[in-house]
Amino acid sequence: MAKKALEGVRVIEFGLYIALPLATRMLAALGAEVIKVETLTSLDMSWFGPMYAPGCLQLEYRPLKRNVTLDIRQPRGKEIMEELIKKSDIYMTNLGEGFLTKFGLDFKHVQSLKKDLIILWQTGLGSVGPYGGFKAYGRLMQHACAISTLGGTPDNLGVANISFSDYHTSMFNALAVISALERRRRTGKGCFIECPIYESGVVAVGPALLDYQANKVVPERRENRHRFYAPHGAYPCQGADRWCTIAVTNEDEWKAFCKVIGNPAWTKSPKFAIAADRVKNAKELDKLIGKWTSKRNVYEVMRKMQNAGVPAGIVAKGEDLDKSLHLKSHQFYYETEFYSADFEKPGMEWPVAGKTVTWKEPVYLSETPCMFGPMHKVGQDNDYVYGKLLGMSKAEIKKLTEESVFK
Amino acid sequence: MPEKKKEEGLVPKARPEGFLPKYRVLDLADEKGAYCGKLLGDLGAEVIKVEPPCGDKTRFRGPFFKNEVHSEKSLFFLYFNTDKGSITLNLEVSAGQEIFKKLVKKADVVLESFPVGHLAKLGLDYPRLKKVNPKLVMTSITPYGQKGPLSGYKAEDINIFAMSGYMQLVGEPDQAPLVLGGEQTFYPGSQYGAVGTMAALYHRDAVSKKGQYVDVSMQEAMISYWQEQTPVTMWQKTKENNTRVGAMDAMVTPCGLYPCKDGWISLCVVTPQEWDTLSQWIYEVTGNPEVLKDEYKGGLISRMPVRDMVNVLVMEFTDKLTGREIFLEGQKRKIVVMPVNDVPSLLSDTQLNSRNFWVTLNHPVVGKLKYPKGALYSDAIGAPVKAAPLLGEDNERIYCGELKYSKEDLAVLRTTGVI
Repeated sequence: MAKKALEGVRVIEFGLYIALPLATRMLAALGAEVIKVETLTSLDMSWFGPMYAPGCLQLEYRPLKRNVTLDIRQPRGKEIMEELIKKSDIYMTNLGEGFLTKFGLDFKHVQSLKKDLIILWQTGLGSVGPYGGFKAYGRLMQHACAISTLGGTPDNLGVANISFSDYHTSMFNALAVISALERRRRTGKGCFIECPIYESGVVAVGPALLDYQANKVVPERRENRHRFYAPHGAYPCQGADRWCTIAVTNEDEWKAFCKVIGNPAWTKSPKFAIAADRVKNAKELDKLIGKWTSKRNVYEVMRKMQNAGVPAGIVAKGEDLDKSLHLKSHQFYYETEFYSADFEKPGMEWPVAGKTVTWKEPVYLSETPCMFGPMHKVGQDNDYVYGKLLGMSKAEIKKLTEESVFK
Repeated sequence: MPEKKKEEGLVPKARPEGFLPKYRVLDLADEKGAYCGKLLGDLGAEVIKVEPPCGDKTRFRGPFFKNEVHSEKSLFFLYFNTDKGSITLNLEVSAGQEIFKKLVKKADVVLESFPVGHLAKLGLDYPRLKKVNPKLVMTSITPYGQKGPLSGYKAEDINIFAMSGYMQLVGEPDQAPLVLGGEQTFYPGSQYGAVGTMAALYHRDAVSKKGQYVDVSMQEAMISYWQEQTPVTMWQKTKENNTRVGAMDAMVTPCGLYPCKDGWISLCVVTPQEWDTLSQWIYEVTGNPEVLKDEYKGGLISRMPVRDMVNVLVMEFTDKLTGREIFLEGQKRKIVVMPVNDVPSLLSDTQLNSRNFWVTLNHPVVGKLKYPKGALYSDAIGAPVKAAPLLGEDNERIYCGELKYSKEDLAVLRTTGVI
């Protein structure tokens, strides 16, 4: 069996939704033993989406993680959480400070349980400050982070129906705790790290932050046109809602591009002679290119451009990702089972809803490859974690299950 | 080499000792992997950009400080190269390749984003560098990864964004797909690259004592950044594809972007209680009793059949207040309301400023600018301490100090185009 990068590292995950479980998904793929602690006494709505395959979304968050049910709001549940933390290297949560403090799991206390523990607390708009503790959703965070103002059309901001900054946060979370592990290896010290979703999104605004300070430039919403390159855009192709992107970034690529489209007369126009002219007249240029692309298949346009050394790529849809020979050659997607949630019953009794694909981590490590595999059912590892790890007897586990501590 | 001036009060507090050891990273990456080196540098690694004698190509990428085209004034370069040093070295000639191998002996990481196969042509690919230094971790960040039918494809930001499928989701339903602003594909691949690199270093130092190769596909990294839409499952189960829904959510109402007195505000109502609170508040502001009707009550999908009417009622309300009023009062009432910030408002944002998010760094040529501290707050992690390097500012330290070339040797190497 291949070696694992984070062999022997144990992580407790205590939280919901996207950014936190994605970070621990990565840690699990790198070989850490991630134990997801959750309770069926509070409904997690994400089990019921999407409509075409309820439950499949969980595959994005749970592969390879161990899973236990535990209600920390009960005194015994809180004690068991403390035992689990004592046996772990890393504790990661995105729950509110009020909730954690109310049930006796404030961070000062948690750190006192184990001096060299690495604690990562993911927050929304930050824990302190005038907006400290404010409620936030990733879907709206793209607006708070100003990302939606960097692009779009003159009439509309550039908006994606996606929890934009959650993904940045997830990788900051993972980078932080692996770096902290390395620090602990050298110094023996644990640490406390806070990672707000807000700040992790603001970082992705990038050079525009400097451009405003230096030049008072506020990003213009210029659709797909680039400030420095032309042609640069998504061009309509044959078929419904089919588009191919093309980006010409230097004079060699411009010459190659003109050759691919058959050197029509307009390419010789002084309006398009050098890059600065093309950027100035980009709208007109885009229309002329669209006339050529719209008579062609989207893949044909991409291949012709690439064969000539011009950067191009189709606007992929789910079906293109599904059929992609390139992604297949990486075995990027793999198929596995997902479950139908029924919060009236223990997680182990939830039926298999079907099989579908999820993705592997897009990092290929030559000696310790990322692992992939099935998700565990809710509560599947209660016996292992409470029995083997914490040394509880079968009778005790049964009793605590009946008392709904393990619910 | 220009001397760097130290100014009182501009030298940030020293970074706490030992968050990352002084791992040496030789950074050969262009815009595709620059952020990876920055992430490692900001955490305390010693990142040295190894640039061609004329400078890394991202030094010539706009925008520029005061719009002056100059190798030290690219704001793109300045943003992505905090906490890095710089040496010049021509890897295209054999003397440069030999010197690079000497550097690799003492390095922990080589980071690169060349077209696939380019380093092999120079004799500097991982199999060969591994022989020079078996403990080396080498990380490649490329549009489509090192293997597979598309590995030779060229790509700019917009192409990777499109090929990941993300672009299909951005924009209005009946209009062209849009690229997000700010060249967003330059982040995810580098983030995965940094995580993979750190995992490899941790494994090397804690377990194996050996390095390894880390191969990141920017396309796949970007696919994982919108995985909540499960595009492949949707296609397989329904033979339909995700598409653009604009600024209003297609599943939840009200949820999205609403015009207010001075711009836009975003809000999202999920629970029945949140709707009760919001509708009461709307009534207080507009006096329109329609909004309190029972037919609008309920959880996240119950208002979908009356979506248009609900949005009209919400807009009638948001129109009467400023974004800031709706944000602060909404959050007070426990409704998820978020401001729509633009770049200037981020720089003056009270929350970010209260947390010392903006760090002033002084650059010898462009002077003081504010940079983000990063997303991690901890007593153990410091803020960035150094603005981007001048071209070749570490040549003497590395070539004379470490590799023991004399200044005369340096002059020869410079004159013959090696450094």
